[in-house]
Amino acid sequence: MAHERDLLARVARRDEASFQRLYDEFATRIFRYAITILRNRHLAEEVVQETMITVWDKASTYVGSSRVSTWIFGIARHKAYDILKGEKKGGRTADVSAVMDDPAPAIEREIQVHTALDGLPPDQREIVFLTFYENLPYRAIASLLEIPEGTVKSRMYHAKKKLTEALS
Amino acid sequence: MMQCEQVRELIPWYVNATLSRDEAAAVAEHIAQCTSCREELAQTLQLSLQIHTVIEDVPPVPKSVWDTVRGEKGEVPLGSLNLGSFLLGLSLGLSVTRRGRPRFTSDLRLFGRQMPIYSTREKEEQNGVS
Repeated sequence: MAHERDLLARVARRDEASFQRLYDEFATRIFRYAITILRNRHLAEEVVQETMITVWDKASTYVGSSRVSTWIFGIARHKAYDILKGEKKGGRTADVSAVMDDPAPAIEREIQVHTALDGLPPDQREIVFLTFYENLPYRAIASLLEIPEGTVKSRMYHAKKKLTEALS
Repeated sequence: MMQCEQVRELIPWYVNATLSRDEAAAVAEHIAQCTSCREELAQTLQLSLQIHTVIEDVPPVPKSVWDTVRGEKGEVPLGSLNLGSFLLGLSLGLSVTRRGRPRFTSDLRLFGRQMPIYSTREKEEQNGVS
């Protein structure tokens, strides 16, 4: 975590090499987070671009009260939901088939899990992602999503129930 | 001792090992004595592994995204003016971002060291302009 803060501090001083290292560390994680919300590879790439440009522009405004990852995921989340709102207004739907390049090598169970995840609403899917992929504590998730801790737990409860039903 | 409902709420974060020491100890104590919560723990652990695998299967972000980011964040210098000498002087610079926003900077040079004294970028950041 100190390493990430150090990198971000150097980015605030316009250090290009540190920015590239920060990008290498976060880009794919942001990409997977955005795909979790948007279910669309191209829109997720857009989120990565917009997020990292914002990180470059606003690194000096990071105050250090949260983890660097929570700060960056917070930016990515806003970008993803802005896109999601725009997509809904425009009547476009997520391109679920574009999430996996080639599902052929995936075993049957993985496809089932994938389909079960697709069946969750975005707000439950992102809590599943942040808990089981990013390994965030529920308090950090509540802070990132700006919701009460009880809401994090109840969304997880409903998500797990749906996933278990879909996979049984 | 914690009730089953409280324990089940915390199990996902017991699995990802991010509970506080007290919470983790309370969950562990309950699970040691409760068969149904133990089953819930096993099920959640399996689910967590499956989800992790599925997300890991999503390929990394394409390299072209970095090229775009590098290009987008860059600024194109329009011109600069240096007054004074290397030891004591003033530099004024004007550039434009890839998004077409002009940026003005001024630096003071003192004994060869460059010290920023004004930048519209900092003003934009203070005003929350992205």
